[in-house]
Amino acid sequence: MAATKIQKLPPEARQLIFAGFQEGKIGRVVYAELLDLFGQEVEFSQRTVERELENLKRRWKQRERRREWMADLVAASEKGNIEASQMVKALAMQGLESDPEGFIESDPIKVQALALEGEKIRLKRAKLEQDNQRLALDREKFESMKTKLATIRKQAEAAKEAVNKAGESISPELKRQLLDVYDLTEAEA
Amino acid sequence: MTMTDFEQDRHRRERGAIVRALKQVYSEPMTGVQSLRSVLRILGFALSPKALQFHLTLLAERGYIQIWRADQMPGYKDEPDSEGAWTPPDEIVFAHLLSSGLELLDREKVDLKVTV
Repeated sequence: MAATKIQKLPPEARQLIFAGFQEGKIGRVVYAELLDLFGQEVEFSQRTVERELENLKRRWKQRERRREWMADLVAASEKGNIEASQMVKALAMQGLESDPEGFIESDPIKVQALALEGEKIRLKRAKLEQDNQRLALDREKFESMKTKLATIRKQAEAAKEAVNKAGESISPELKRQLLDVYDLTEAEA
Repeated sequence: MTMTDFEQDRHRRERGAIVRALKQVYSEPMTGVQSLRSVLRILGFALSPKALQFHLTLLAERGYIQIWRADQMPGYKDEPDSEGAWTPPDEIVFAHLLSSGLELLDREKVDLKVTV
């Protein structure tokens, strides 16, 4: 009857127990948290919470095992095993029959539409992120080109000055080479 | 009618109900045994898992239905998990009515072990 008492707790309290289980908390800690939050409403002992945590652990493991089995079955069906795909279908029908409320609450068409909508949003978000990355890259390239241009300009200025200062002291051949390096005309020098 | 006769008659009717329930899903290649059990419950036959397994085995042996056992399912592991939960390899998990089963329902065949 202990489980019934736990089930009678408000959903928040049951969520707290479940969160405790997920975080691997021990019964004493979860019980203390329950007392803190729900005080008078907690009409059972620490041992009950410990038992509930053990139950959750056991059920969770069984669930995991069944999920693994189902995953293998689906994998076999995807590889073309017709019998496996018929089994998957039969199990799906069985699930629908054994948990009709669950299926009504989560109308498959709505769930599918929701999943598609979610996928659309995810794709949009991914595209936006890509655009932002591309923009950042373009900006970086632009900055780098600006810096390069400034450097070239500076070098050109320096070369111009050097050529002017040197005047007749450098040979016309060297002057032509210098002008070529910095892509300057005689007039610009 | 003795108690044994009464029991035997009940079992024959239960087997008939199984055949009848499987006819409803004849177009499906196979049906889950749990589905079958819940249909039988609706029809007024609250069979225990053990009793259902027994009837299914008998019907399969007489050629009226095809059955699939747990170890025929891809991914089946013949070992208990850490908590001791385990599906036996010979547990029947799916069933399907065969044409000879349909003949029983159409009265083209009579079997004293099955009352349809």
